[in-house]
Amino acid sequence: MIDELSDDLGVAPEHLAALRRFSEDEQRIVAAAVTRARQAQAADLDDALRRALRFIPRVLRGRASRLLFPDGDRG
Amino acid sequence: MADLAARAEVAKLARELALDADRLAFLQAADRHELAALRETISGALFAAQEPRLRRIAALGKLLPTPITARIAEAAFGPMLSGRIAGVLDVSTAVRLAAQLKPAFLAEVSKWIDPARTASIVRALPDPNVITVGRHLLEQGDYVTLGRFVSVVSTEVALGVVAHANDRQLLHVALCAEDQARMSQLVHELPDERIVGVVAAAAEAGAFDEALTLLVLLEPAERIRAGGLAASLDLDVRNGIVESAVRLSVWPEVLSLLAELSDDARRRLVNVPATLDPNVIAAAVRAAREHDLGAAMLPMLGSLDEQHLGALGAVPELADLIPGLAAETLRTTGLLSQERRDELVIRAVQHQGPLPDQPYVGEARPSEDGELLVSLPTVVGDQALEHVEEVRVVAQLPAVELDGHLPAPHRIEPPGGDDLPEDRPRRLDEWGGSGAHEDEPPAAAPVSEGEVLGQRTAPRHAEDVGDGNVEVGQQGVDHPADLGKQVRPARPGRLPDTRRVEAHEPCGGVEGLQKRHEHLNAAP
Repeated sequence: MIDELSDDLGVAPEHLAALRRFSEDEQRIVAAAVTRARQAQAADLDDALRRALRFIPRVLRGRASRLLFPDGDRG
Repeated sequence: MADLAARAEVAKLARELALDADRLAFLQAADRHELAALRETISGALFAAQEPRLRRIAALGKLLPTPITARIAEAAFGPMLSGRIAGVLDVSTAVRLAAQLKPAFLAEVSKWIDPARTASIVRALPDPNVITVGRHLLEQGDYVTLGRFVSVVSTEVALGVVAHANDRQLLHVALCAEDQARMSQLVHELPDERIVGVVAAAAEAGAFDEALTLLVLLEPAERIRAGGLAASLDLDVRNGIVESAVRLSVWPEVLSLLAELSDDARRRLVNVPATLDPNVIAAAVRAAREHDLGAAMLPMLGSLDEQHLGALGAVPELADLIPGLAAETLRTTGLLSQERRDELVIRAVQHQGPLPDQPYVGEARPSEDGELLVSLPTVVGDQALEHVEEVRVVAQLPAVELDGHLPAPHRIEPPGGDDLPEDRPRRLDEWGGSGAHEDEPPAAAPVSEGEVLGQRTAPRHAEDVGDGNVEVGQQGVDHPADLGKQVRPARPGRLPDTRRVEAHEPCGGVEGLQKRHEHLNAAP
């Protein structure tokens, strides 16, 4: 479970050494919470960016949109 | 102590993961430093996953007027995202932006800021603004966030926030401080009344564990000061602190603290109802032995009053600690005047057969003619020894006649009755021989006074003890101060008589004893 979490986070397993003393189930609780947090933060960020566009003056909105969504995907 | 620190770390991780801390409560079993490293790893990884987009948002701040950016931050991004964006803002943009944000919103943002990433921004903010944010956090009881910034803000800002905190709040912030060295610097700036107030407030709330945790976390100078101030409080408070030490099993820290305090402060802290319980002293003794803190144990035992000294008699672990400790303690506390009925005190080797694998073979006798040879206990190692006999303390005698009276001669019955040069009762001062002649075999061994009197002398392996039953009166000295005289350099060779004994100390033999003895002498 530590290996999976380290892959998910992109960190070396030794950085998660504190989890070694815990059971597989307990490690799974942490791993699931980390995964949920990462997904939630990404989703929150998407929502926040779309909301932010509404507060930007029309004259600057195009530039701001290209800055915030360089791939053109504004949801 | 560790529990409180670990709890704070788990709370921070839970916040990072948007979880109830109770879901991660099991993590409190881990070391606080490991938990901090885990939290930083997870936090860093989560931040890194969003960093490219966070940087694009930060660039928006250069495109838009600051008031609009501030409005977007409050209305669209919210505190969590704003806090993350702060991690990639340059200082000047961040300071301009912060000036446009409401203090209450900044306080919310601060909960999501990584202090390490934003330290330069926080330090560049106007002091009154940061203090205002601190006040908001105090009102919310968010001590974890306040504790994270203790190492980031200036002393003036920290004290500005502290000025708005009541004593209980200050206690919590101090406990949550991630940088205890920095916290100690801040405590240094606080007046005595404030520290007393913090401890008293903790006591009033029954938060003795928190008060004690704070005490032991402080740097030495402030720990001594705060400990001394705590000792000035009422008996109930002092007793609560000691009970907390028992509850939290922080004896190593507490013994070190007690050793550092003034005599008066130490006396006030150790002579409380809780220390009348032999189990409490026994726990302290065990901790001292486990952590090699015999030297720290001495001041504590030496500060006990008559009533508490009486309770020591029910602490067998005391004499089993380290040899030097018991002797020194007994000498300084006068415990030698107490009877130690029927205690098995030494194992004497009747025949001087070599003992392979023994780290040292010592011999003992009075250092000068006319002095008394006190009993030199032999601690037997794990292997059986040949020719080992029991010697028991005669029950009726005190170990030392404090008034200088020399105990009367006592009966010695070696097995078979022919092991001693003369088959007759001997006076104690005859036991050692004079050692007057240069060519006489080696005399006194390099034994510490602890080795002489202080070791717990009950054999660890009763099966190793021979059938012979030598009874001697519990040998005494004419004055406790004489105990310190029985130390002499080793000389090779063997004594022909029975006063040779085997000194085996489980932690390094005589050399270890001597080192410890030096250590003990160096103790305050």
